[in-house]
Amino acid sequence: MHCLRRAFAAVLFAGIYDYTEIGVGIAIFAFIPLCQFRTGHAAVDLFKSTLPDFFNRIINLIIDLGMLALAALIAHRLWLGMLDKQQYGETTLIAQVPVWLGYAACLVGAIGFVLVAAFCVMRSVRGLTKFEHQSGAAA
Amino acid sequence: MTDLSLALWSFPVLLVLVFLRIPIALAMISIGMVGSYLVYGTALPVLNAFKNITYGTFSNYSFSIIPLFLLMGQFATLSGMSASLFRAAESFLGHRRGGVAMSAIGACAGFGAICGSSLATAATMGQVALPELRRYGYPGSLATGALAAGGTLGILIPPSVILVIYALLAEQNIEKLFLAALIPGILAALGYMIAISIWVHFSPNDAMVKDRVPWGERLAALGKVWPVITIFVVVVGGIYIGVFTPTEAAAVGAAGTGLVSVLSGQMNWSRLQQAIISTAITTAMIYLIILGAGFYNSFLALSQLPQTAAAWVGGSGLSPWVVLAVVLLMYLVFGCVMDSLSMVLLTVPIIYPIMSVLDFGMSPQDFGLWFGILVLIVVEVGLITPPVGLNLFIINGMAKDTPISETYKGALPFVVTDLIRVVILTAFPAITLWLVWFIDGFK
Repeated sequence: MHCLRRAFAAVLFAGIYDYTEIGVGIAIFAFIPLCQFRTGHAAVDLFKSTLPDFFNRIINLIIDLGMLALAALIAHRLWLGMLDKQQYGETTLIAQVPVWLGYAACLVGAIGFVLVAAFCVMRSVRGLTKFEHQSGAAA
Repeated sequence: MTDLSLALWSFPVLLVLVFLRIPIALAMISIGMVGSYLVYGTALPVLNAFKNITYGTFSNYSFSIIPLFLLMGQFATLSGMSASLFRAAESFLGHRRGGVAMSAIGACAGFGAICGSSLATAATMGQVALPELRRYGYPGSLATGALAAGGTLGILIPPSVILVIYALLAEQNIEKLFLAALIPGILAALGYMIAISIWVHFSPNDAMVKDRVPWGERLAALGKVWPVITIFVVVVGGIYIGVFTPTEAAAVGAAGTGLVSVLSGQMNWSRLQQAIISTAITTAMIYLIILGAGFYNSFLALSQLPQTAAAWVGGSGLSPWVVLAVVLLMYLVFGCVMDSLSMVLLTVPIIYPIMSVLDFGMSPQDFGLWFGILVLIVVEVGLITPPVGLNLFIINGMAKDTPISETYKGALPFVVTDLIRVVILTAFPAITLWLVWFIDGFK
C-alpha cells in the first residue's frame, strides 16, 4: 500500500502543506463576514418565540454590538500579530513563505468582518426604530 | 473568589448567555477572556495570545478537513444519488409490510456514506421519499418520524462531521473513529427498520405494499448506486490503508462527489454557488466556535478546573459507570434544546479529560473511540427529540398537511430504539470496538 501512498504523494509538491494552511486561513477569514451578514452564527433560539418582540430586537442589537467589538478586537490583534511576525522575519517550515504575508492576506477578511459587523449594528438599530413606528401607527 | 469557583460559576453564566440567544462563539470568547483576566489580574496575557490565536486556529491544517466534508455533503445533495439509493432499497424491501419506510431508512444509511451531515441527509431524502410514503398510505406521523430518524444516519455512518470535530478536540484517530462508527451506524438503521415493522404490525392499515420486484431489476437498481459505493470505498478505505491522510481523503471525496453531481446533470452555476456559500457560512460558524472554545478552555485550564474535577471524580469512589450514565443523560437533556455541533464543541473539551481518567477496564485508545461513538449517538438523538429537534422541523416543513405534534409522535418509536441502542453499546463496548480490533489485526 505504500506504493499507492507514494503515487499519490508524487502529485503533491513540497510545501503544499504550508500553502494549504495559508490558503485555508485566508478562506476562513473571508467566510466570517458572510456568516455575520447572513446571521449564520450558532445560537439557541429556544425562547425567542416566547419573548416579547421588542426584547428580541434589543437582544439582536446587543449581539451585533458584541460581534462588532469582537471583530474589531480580532482585526486589531491580527494587525499587531502581523507586525510581530514581520519584525521576527518568521517563515513557514518548508516553503519558507514569510508568515506575515499570510497575516496580511487574512487582514482583508478581518477588516471585512469589522465593516459587515458595523453594518449589522446599523441594521439592528433600524429594526428597533422601525418597530416603534409600526407600533405607533397601530396605536 | 478563588480561581476554581470562578470557573464553576462560568458554566451557569455561559448557559444564561447562550439561552438569551447570544451566539455560542461570542459567549465563549467573552467569558474566556473575562475569566482569564480575573485569574491573571491583568488582560495582557490574553491580549498577547490573541495576536496569534485567530490566525493559528483558522490556518490549522487538521481543521481544514471540516469545510471539505461539509462541501462533500453539499455536493452529495445535488448528486441525484438520493433517488437512486431509494429506488434500489425499494426494489429489495418495497414488497414487505412497512417496506417503503424501511427503504427510506436504508437509503438514508446509504446516503450517510457520502454525506456527513444529518440535516442534509434528512432534507435530501425527505424530498425523494416523502411523496412516495404518502402515496402508499403512510400516515404523516410515521412518514415524517421515519425520515427525521433516518436523517440522523447521516452523521452516524462515516464520514461524519461531528465525529471529525470530536476527533480534533479529544485528539483521537479519525480513521479508527470512522471504523468504530460503522457497526453502531448499521445497528441504528436496523433498529429503525424494526421500529417501523412493529408500528405497522400494530396498525397494518398504515402502510400499503408494492409488488415484489424480480431479481434482475433489483440488481439493475443496485448497479445505479455504484458512485456511492466507489466514493465511500475510496474515502474511508483510502484513509485506512494509508493512501491519503484524512484531510486529503476529504478533498478527494468532495471532488468525487462534485464530479458525480456534475455528471448527474443536477449541478448548475447557481446551485454550485449556493453549495459553496452555505459551506462557507457553516464553516465560519464552526471555526468561530472552535476559536471560542479555545479561549474558554484555556481559562478553564488556568483555573485548574478539569484537573480538580477529574481528581474529585476519581477519588470520590463513584462507579465510573454511574459517572458515564450521568454524562450521557446530560447530553440527552441538553440535546433537547441545543444543536449537536455546538453541544460537542462546548462539552467535549471539558468532559473528555474528566472521563478519560476513569477506569472502564480498557486501553485509553479504546476508551477514546468508544466514548466518542456514545457521545455521537446521544447527541444525534437530540436531533429527533422535541422541542428543538432540527430534523423534525426540516421534515415537518416539507409535509404541509402534518402538524408538528404528529411528527413528535411519529419520532417517538425511533427515539426509543436509539435509547435501547445506547444502553446496549454502553454495556458491550466490544460491539463498537470489534471492527477496529479486527482490522488492526491485519496491520
